Amino acid sequence: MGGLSELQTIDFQSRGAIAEAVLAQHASRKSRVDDPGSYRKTVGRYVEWSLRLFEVVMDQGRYLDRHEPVMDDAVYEEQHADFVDRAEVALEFGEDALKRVLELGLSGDEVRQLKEYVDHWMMELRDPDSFYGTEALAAFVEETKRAVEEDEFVEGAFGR
Amino acid sequence: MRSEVHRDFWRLYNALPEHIRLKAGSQAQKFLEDLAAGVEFRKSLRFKKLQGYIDHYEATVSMNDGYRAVCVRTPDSYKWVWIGDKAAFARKFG
Repeated sequence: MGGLSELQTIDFQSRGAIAEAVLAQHASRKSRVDDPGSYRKTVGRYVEWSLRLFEVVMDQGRYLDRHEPVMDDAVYEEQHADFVDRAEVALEFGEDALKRVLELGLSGDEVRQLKEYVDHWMMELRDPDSFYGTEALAAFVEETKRAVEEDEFVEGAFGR
Repeated sequence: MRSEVHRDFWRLYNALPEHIRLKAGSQAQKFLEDLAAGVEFRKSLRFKKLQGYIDHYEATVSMNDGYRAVCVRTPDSYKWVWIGDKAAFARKFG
């Protein structure tokens, strides 16, 4: 699959980005009261690094999707678990960065992108109700009950 | 346990981007293998109950792209009824 070096690069980038994000977080906490102007600047940098974390996660996800067909199952499961762990880390930083950004009233393309990432990974990792817990789903559930009762199914699975 | 698909599911499936259909096929293969082996579904499927509903479950098709498949569990089968992403769900049910 020729992907080992690519994976090592992703790992390196991820670790580097996480380290920078941690530094940015500490700096922002310290400077908030002492130097509000510096704090705003640091929060802006924090947003940049949080975005980079998400982008690393997305890259890793795309890598896994591309290579899954030729990966050993056990290796894929291990890499996927690592991917989920990183997504959790990115979400943790992203939520914190977004909270600080909103407190400061900052806006712009980076803030919009950060919110999209946070919303997406919140849905994927923590809050399925945000996606499915709607009145519309209740109607959907009723419709599926009817289909089950009338036995409208044929053998298979989603995509097979 | 059997695995079955509703005809409406295939309409949704056929409208998906090709790379998502391929990914769905791969995930479905894993689901069927684990089902046949009678083992716990592997973690990358992220097979879990929809919160608040007794018999509806979801499986991840692609976390990065936000695609999921939804099934109903009956005493002897999993019946797949929906597949799509967040935007598709909003269009269909919003």
